[in-house]
Amino acid sequence: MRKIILRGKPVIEGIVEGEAIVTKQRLNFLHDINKETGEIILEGHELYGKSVKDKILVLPSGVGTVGLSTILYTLIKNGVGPKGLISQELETSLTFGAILANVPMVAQLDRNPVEVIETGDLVKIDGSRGIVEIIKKEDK
Amino acid sequence: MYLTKEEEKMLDGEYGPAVQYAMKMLVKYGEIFDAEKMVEIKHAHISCTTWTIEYLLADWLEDLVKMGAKVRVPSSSMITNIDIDQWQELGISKEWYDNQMKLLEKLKAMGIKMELTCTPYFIPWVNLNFGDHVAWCESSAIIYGNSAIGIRTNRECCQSALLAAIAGRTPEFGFHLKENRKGKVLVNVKTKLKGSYDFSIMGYEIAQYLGLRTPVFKGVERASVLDLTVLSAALSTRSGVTMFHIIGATPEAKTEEEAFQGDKPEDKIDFTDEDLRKAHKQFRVGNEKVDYVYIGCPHLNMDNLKKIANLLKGKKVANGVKLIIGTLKALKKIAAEEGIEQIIKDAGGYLISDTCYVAMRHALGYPSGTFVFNCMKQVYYLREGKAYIGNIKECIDAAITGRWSVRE
Repeated sequence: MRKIILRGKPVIEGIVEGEAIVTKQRLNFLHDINKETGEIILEGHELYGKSVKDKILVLPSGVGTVGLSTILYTLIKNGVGPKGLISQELETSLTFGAILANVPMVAQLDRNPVEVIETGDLVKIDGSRGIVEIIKKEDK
Repeated sequence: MYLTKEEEKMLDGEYGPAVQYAMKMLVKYGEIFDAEKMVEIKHAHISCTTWTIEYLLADWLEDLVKMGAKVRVPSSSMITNIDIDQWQELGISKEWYDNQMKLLEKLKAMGIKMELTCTPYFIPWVNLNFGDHVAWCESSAIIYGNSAIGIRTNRECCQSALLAAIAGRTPEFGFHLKENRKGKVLVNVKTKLKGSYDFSIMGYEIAQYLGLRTPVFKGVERASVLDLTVLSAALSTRSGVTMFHIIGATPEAKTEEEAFQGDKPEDKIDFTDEDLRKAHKQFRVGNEKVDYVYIGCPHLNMDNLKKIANLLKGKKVANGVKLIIGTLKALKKIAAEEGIEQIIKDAGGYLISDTCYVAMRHALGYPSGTFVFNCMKQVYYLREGKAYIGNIKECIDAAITGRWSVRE
């Protein structure tokens, strides 16, 4: 079984494992995600119709509204949020949301995670050490 | 992270549990972003005000109130989902009002002023100078403040801005430090921007290529306050930028060299006639009946309120059209004294404060139709119909004639 390991900046501690949901396109949490279901509702988005619920969300960075800290917090409180976060760039409001909601998070990895990880891969995050382990979906 | 003796005391709980909690979170925040120390702030602008987004924060805010939280610096508040004085006239239910007040009362208890605006820089008592450190929430205000005024804030969210206000400081990293304020992407503006709508369209189109990287616009001859506010709001839709520079127009970009602080741009983008033509086709060209016109994204200053009054004087809004003008509470009061509000009312329009159309549409029950706005941020967040963008005069004309009519 092939395992890929990425190393980055530990952001929020905790170890979680789950299926990855990956977007190269930017995601405006306020505009593009349904707060009650965790589903991506922006037509034409590569993740349209998919849900972030219990997934490891992999994205380039937080963009758009600074209300995204609250949206992340709300998704988690509503039980439809991601289990863990991998963001290549460290953006303030996404990070503060992760602090509040206590979601394990790793950022600034040695290889760009949105290039290495695909939706459906199995991913384990160690938010205390900044380590991401990936098992590709074809090897699962 | 280095903390002063005073900050150590705050962290140890000598100033009570609220300050202790705020410091604990801010230290964690600072450590993640490699801040070396804290920086004292002169002002905070805080959200936690919109019921649609922040209803689940009510408990979090209540806990802070119970801990005795008070802001240590002058603090103002962001927009809500309703006009808290005119909700009945606008057809909004008491339930919305009551819910909205649940959040606002907690913020009031902490000493936050109920300005309820997306433009803290227009609040008369907010006197900030170039280089002042603040903690602002509201993506468009963050961009405008950093870019046009030269105040220094990171992209704070409502919680980090509130906790910074309670502690009177924020970790010093990112845009608080001069070296991080340099431009990254050069945007060659190779077309003539004809109205404020073109500034907004340019911000919206360029935003998708930026991520978190600060753009530097080159080739913009002049820009009004309105141009800069609608550009800021449009940039805040699809990018996570904290500021921009316009060479020759914004305070940290007298020259290209200053804007990039001597570095080379990481990336170059052209904004051309063709880009503008395509965007006009999508967001401006049309000929149809209009249902709603909203001007006030971001909230308007006195200058533009006067302009609107002059355009509306003695005119009537067409039957079936709702014209709504948005500003901040403090300026609405002045507009009432100067007879501007009466002119708008006589014409059949509404002058509102505390909210904007896309924030209020939740409380209005998501009416659909054809909309005309003055900013791409409204166009972007609207989901219930077709939206056009125009300058103030075009918006008013659409309200009076009841039609939007722009040819290619």
